[in-house]
Amino acid sequence: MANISLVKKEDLTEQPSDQRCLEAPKYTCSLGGALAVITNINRIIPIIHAGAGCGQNQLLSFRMAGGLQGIGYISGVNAPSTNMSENEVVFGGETRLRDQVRATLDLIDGDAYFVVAGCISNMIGDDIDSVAREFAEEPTPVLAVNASGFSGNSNTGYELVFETFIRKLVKPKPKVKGLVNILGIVPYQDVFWRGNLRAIKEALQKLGLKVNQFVGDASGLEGIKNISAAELSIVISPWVGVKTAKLIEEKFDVPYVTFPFLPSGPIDTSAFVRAVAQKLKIPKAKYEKLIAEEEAEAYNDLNIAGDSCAQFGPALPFNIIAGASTAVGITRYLTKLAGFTATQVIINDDPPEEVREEIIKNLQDVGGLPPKVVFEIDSWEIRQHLKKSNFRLLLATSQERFLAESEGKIFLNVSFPANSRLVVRETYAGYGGGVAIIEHVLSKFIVP
Amino acid sequence: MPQFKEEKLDLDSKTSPKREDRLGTIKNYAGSLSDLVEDYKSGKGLEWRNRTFEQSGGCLLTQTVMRLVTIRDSILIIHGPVGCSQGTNGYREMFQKIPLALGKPQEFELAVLSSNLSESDIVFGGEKKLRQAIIEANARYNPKSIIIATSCASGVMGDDIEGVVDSIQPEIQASLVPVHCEGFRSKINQTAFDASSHAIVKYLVKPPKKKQKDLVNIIAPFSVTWADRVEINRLFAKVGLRANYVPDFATTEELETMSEAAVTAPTCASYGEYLQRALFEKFGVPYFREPGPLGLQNTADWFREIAKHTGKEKEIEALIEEEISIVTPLLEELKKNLKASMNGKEASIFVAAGQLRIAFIPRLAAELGIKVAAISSREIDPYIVEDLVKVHEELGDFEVHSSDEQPFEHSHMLNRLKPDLYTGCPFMGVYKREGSQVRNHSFRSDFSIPANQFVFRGILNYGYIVQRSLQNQSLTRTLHAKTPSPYKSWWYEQPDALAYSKAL
Repeated sequence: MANISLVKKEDLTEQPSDQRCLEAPKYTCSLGGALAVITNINRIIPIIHAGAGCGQNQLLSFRMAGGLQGIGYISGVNAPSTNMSENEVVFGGETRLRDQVRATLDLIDGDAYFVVAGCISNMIGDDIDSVAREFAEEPTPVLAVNASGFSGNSNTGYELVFETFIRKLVKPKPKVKGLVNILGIVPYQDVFWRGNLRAIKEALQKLGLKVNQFVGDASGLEGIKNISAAELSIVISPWVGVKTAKLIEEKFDVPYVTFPFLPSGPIDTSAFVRAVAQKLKIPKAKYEKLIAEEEAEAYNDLNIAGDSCAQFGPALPFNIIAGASTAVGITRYLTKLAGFTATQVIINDDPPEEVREEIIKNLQDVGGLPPKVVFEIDSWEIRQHLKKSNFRLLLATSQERFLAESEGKIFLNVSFPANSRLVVRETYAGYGGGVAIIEHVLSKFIVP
Repeated sequence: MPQFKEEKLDLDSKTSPKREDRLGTIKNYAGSLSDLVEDYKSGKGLEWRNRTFEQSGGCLLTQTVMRLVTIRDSILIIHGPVGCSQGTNGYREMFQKIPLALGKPQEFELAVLSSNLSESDIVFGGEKKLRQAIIEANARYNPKSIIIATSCASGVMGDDIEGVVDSIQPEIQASLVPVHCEGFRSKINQTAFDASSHAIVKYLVKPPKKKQKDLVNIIAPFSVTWADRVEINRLFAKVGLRANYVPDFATTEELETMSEAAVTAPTCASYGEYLQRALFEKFGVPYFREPGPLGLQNTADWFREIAKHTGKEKEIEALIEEEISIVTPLLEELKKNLKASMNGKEASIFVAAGQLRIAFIPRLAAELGIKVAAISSREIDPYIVEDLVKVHEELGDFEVHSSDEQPFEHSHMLNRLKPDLYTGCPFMGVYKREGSQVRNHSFRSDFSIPANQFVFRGILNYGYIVQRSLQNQSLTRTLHAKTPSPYKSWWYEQPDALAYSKAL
């Protein structure tokens, strides 16, 4: 029986992203983004000041959807949390928070403690900064950030955490020659963040640089404090991290350079290396020698994988659904080097209007005809776009997997949510990153 | 001995009361089973305590949405900021690979919408967005019902959910079902089970058209796997019964007709208690609360309870005899192997689970020849203590703990008791220690045959996993040796796992 509805559905796709409901969203909230960063800086301990389920949603479900990455040192449902209830909603949550901070300092071994406040705390007006200040005499710093879920998405949370570090903790330091900060790669929102940061770091280390990646390595609090000692901040994203980089420049006189997508394979990785090297005035002879060596190796990789590309996936038409940085990076490698055909690129992480033109521009100088570019954040709308497109390969989130597979398409999970892929060291970044995509894609369907 | 007294449910009210008020539920306990039993017999109730240190767990919303999302022809709306829907984002796809032979329904489409509350909604109220989401869900999927789960944000704002539902219900055919699962509403997050049961009974279940004498409602959270269903269906078919698995993965119609069943049987006490009682009080469907069908004795008792309400005593006695005669020789061999894996020593187990399992796994463990070192329940309802009294009489003493799975307290107890095996919720992470660890139940998303751990043959699958786990402890041992623990050493040097709990 048809469901007769008297109310008409609106076209939500024209609405601003905060004015529309979302089916199976492609990001989580500010709190999730903030916790994703904090729990991946070595020995920095999160203290969630929010409802009891926020830790489960943001540190368990978000981590799992971000490539099934487990709890590690202290995260998931292990994360200290005030688990705010009716009592706090009525009487305020500061007393509860004070007890929790005290106890966390006593019980959990860390180098710094970071209160992250969610929706309830903000709505009832808890003064989390003043509670944090009460612990100013402690040997370890106690910081606080308001990252209410309704204040933005995962990317917002990432910037909020760095803003707090920079305003409250980082002090000016003498510059260390060759030290660079890496920004813009948000854990889990980029499911390959561990491998991507490692690949970027390795590429830069070969240039003789010291890399301050803070997130995901052992540097921890020292790494954060060294933000001000860098000669350059490098943002790898069209917009995420730019706000942080500007703040670092303003406060500590560290310039920044933006590379607006993930460099994958020899062409873009060389472009990335050149952009950084030129900014740091590294002698051309030095970086060009390095580039030549690395490129030779990367093109040899392609030479080995290329026969199979030609044989099994000639000009393979594909759609990709991912955040802007990943979508652009992978599309450029596959089309400019591996001969694949991009028919549609769906950017699902809601870039601000002002960077969309640049994203589209970076998808024009690709191999073959430029793809159709769509900005869409709702899973149902994305499926409608897929139904209208011609492709054999779908590089997307796990939310598109069964639509693709039920129609006999080749599917590879490359973006968040990645509930069907365990990712620890894998990466599509850097000189070796490109050929890894070919390996993963072709291994999906070549028989026997 | 005091009897646990229950007030009649008010099924017309907006939502269920919180469990700490309705039942006197607690989630802070540490002591021996004999103390718990002694206190109970002397009439001393369970004492509520607060923790000054807590780790994150689930809330009312996280506890219920991952279950409600599985109702097959219903769409779930999570009325909150985008992050509240994070835990359900994989559910549309999770069950797609299940073989039809395991009973996967031919056609179903699961979907979740977030009303995506943003800063301006917090200022102006979220009702407009909720309305938009309802219209959208209805237009996209033409569902039989739309379930609306509320959040902390919608609750603190005071959105009039019923007002939105009442205003839009006349305009659409899908039944709207608002569930009050604001995360802050109760310290006992299992209150969410009551809230969703309340809403389902209030808004969906219809008076019976006819009574179906062979139909058994089975409370089936995600720990009732596909393989469990196949096995229960096989046994039911032998005795001429049919199972109606509710509420998870049911259709709206299967929920509507729960009132026609002969009895509602439990698999999880925390999950099913309110639903069972509501169906009894409103529609006269009888129920029993224990035991759970875990191991041979418990399963036999479970079937006998079903027999009482279905008139199948003779068939069920024959079934019990047949199954036990098939399982027993295999179980004997398994027990021998288990003992051999422990070099002749009796293995000890720490069971961290929901209430039904902590009360009934001890009997299953005894059937496997395993000693219980401790049980740790998420929460303790007074009625489960009545079951534990019986367990104490049968099996003697061991430790009892309740913390809603606070990992720092589990870690403390494991360090002190050093059981050979920890079985717990897999979400809690790996406890790094000398000793093995295994999840205490499978999930519906695991569609392997060994995921059958309920009813008679389930004990074998459970036992095989336990045996392998006891034989190879490399993961927990390696992580223990090679990666750091977050807790400072003093925590383990002092004796009290409840050191951060305070009486009010």
